[in-house]
Amino acid sequence: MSFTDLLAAEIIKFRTLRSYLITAIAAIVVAGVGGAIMGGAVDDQGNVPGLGTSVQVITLPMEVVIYAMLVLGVLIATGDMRSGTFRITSVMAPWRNRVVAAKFAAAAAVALVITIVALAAAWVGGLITGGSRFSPLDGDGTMLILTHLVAVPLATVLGAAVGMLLRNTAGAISALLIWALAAEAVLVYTVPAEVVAFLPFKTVGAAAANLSLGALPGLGMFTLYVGIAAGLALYLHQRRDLG
Amino acid sequence: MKPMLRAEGLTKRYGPALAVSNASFAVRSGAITGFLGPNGAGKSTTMRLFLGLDRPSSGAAHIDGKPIHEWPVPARKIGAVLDTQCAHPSRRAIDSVRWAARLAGVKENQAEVLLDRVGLSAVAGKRAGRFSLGMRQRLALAIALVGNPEVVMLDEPMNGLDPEGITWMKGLLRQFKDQGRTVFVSSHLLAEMEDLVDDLVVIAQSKIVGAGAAQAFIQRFQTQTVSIQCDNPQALGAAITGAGGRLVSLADAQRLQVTGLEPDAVGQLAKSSGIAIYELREERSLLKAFNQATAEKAEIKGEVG
Repeated sequence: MSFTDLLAAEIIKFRTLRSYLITAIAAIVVAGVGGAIMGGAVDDQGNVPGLGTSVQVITLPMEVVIYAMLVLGVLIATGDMRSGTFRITSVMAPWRNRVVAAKFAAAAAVALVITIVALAAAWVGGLITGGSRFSPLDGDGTMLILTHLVAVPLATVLGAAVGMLLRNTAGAISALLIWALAAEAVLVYTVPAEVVAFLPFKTVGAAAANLSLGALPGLGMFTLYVGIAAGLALYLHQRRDLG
Repeated sequence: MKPMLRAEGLTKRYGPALAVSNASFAVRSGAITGFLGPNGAGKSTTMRLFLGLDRPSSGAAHIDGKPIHEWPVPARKIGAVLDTQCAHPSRRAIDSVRWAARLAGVKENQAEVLLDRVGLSAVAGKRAGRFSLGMRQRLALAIALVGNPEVVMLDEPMNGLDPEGITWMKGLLRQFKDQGRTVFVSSHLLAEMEDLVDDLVVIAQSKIVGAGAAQAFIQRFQTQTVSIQCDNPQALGAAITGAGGRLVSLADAQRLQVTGLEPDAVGQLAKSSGIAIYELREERSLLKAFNQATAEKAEIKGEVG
């Protein structure tokens, strides 16, 4: 059985669940609406007051997309486990690492498509309300936009990896969102700024535009974090009983 | 005939608990083999070990000579239903078979054929979460059959089914056998298995108690009993004892149960004693044989049947 078959089966699983599709569409709509709202705030110098250049019109709504895809990643993993689908998959394809790798790859592929559409929606939204003042490619805008093509799929894989590790939907979503939205927010005020820049969710998304690490190094750090989580998920899954 | 499933010294521990202890048995190709044992005896664990879902602590579980992961497309070798939790409740039945078809290397349009085969074509577009237990059982079977497997492994398939569902399931298992498939089916409902299985593997308290042909198992573990209803049980009882038979019980005023004599010998004795026989039958049952085989495990006997 080829990896393509495993990947194709995972894609079929994704596109045949309405809740996954609704999550994806909601993320795209939020990106578009967010872009439109932010676009209206762009001043004559092409900046968003208090936030930075007009690339924020795209990257800030994409922050929501990152979290939505994080949750989707968890659902892709735990929904399979909770429903018994994962066990059937494991009987039909008893090569654990390949199955999990296919799941991660499918999650990333799906997230990539959603990211492209969401970026386009945010751009169009910003363009509608910001008009000629909206110039997202100024400065490091291009790089920041392009990093989302990697960061969002990676966030989805992170969600799937944490879902596989905890094997519990509520637990995995809570752990990720509490870390991303609460723990990191507190750490910003309690640890040195040089350390803050290395916090997982401060390395990508809108935060990457404002922190010292920058777009590409930030993406590199995030890739490392996701790699560790995915590697741990694969390692433990290989050793666990799936009964 | 070559064994299709073979366990060799199969042992599984979960921490201090021993779920399967040094199990060795073989399942004949093309036969229906019942895997019998009370709840918690180790049946499901043994099946999971065959399917590669659990890792054995020691020993090996082979399907047609190889562990499951060595088959290039395992779904063509074995299809399994371990429980009815087989599909995401929000996914349509047809889609649940489609992704499985992809893993089995089968065209996705075969999903409709399979659902038709298990009687679910009318609800193919419905979400599995709305299915009854019997419908989920059928859906699980459709998924298990997607690769047209040589071996079908079912864990407690009769559980929760109504009489009509049990009859349907038994008919389907016989159909599998007629198609040349090997069927390995676990159950703690011995009465449902008695007229179905060719061979047996019996497990109790994690240990294999017996394996082989069902009739041989029954004969080995249950002494033949002849049940007689006649017009003079006292006289016939005396004649039977005199001929070397043993009265097991005087079931009621007119019924005797006897061991140590064949039914035709009992009939001859009655005839020569001038006793009218109303009913004479040989009694052997899987349940009694099972109870006998696991007699030393007193706490199990109460659960079976």
